[in-house]
Amino acid sequence: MGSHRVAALALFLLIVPSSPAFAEEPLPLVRPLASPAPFVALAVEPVLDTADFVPVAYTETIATPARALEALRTAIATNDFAGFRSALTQATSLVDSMPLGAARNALRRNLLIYRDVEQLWSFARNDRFGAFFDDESLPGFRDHLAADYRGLDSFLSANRIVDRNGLELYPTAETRSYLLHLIDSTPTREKSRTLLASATPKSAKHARKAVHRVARHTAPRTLPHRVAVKAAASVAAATAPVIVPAAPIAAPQTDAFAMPEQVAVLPKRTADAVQAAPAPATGSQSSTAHGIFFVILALILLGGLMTMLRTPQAPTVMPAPDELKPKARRDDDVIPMKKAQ
Amino acid sequence: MKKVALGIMLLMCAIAATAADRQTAPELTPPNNGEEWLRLSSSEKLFWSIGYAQGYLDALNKIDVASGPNSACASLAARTERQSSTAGKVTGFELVSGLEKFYSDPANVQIPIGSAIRIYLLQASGKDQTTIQELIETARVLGAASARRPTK
Repeated sequence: MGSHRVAALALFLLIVPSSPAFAEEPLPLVRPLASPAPFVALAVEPVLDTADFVPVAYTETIATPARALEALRTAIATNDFAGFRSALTQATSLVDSMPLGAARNALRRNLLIYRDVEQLWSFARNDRFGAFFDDESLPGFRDHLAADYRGLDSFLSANRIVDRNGLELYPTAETRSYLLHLIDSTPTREKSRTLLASATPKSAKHARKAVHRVARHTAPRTLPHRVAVKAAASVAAATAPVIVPAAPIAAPQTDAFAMPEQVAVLPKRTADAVQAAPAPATGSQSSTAHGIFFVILALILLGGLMTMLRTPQAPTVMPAPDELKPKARRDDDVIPMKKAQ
Repeated sequence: MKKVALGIMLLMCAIAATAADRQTAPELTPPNNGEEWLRLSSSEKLFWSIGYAQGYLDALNKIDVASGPNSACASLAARTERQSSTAGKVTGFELVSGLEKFYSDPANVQIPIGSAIRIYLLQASGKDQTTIQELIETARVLGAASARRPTK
């Protein structure tokens, strides 16, 4: 019995300290660059006027809805903003001249999405801070997106960045990719709405599935698919940790980095945020999951220990065969013959 | 026998938990060029830019500590800071937006990110477009050569 107790104690000591609840949060693995990148030696040049932006019109004539959509897709793929605008204008003229019907409606709905893409793209190109938008830079745009594309509200909430003044900023590139996905995957906006609405998770399991679906949508196409989906999921998971600003390192007060960059990625404490955010790598949700797992593990361990350390019942010792024989009489039982006589 | 099975089960639970924990650890790779830059999310780009700028400034501020206050190295660092440091010239949001625009051109994706930052800073400070374009062409050649080189 003693050896059992020692074995159980050793097992407990082996398992519990190695459990994740006792371990510190894992530090991110940072890979150093393999080799120094070649560097361009830049000379100091005099300040001159910059060249004006010359838009290039889309030369081909768009005659069919399929051709219109293809031209728009091609312009986006080749980063041809001027061509995109021209194609969008031509496609709008085309849809106005089409007869009423399903084809016209489908194209019109797609063009509505493309107009939102155009607005985002134009903002990203022309604004100094075009990588992120907010209600001040694009007034009402976020509300418009949230109203028209239901899944986008939670997506934006999950990917927002909040600075220390509470200003919410939304990434332009991810939002644009999301909108483009709606066009690519579904022919109509109504269908995409239905899809996104049905993707609204009702349980934790559904939430995880929805998160992976969103991650699959937003994953960069240049990566291998599974890696990209993982990366996008981890990106979406980055909503949980609060980024504490680094202590100032002898930076001058005029440093423009001081104010806007002390940002924090805050989780939105609403159902939407829960729907969109996957189980994060490091964060409060991860800690909660680890805590629950540890409680379950501890209960299992406790049960196992109690089973092993339970006080045994009195042993039922089977008598030896010899003991089954009639007992030999003791000396007292032996009646001395002389006394008996 | 039951106890042994229970012990093995508990051990497997612990191993699975450790493995699951290991899977969730994020893996960060600093971008080397536009291709790797475009793989990052906007948040990652922003945080990387903040770290880059602060690290750059920190290194420049410490050069005179190591080399002496009036040494040639310190004056070179001060001059470099004036020319190419992002501190005080553009914010992290601007840097991210500028690099996004720069790397949105598919021809630029092979350009190393350090060169892209310097080119963007020259653009932002209003240098002439011809020189900028020449620098971009040079950087494209260097980037293409770097991409052809096998990485260890």
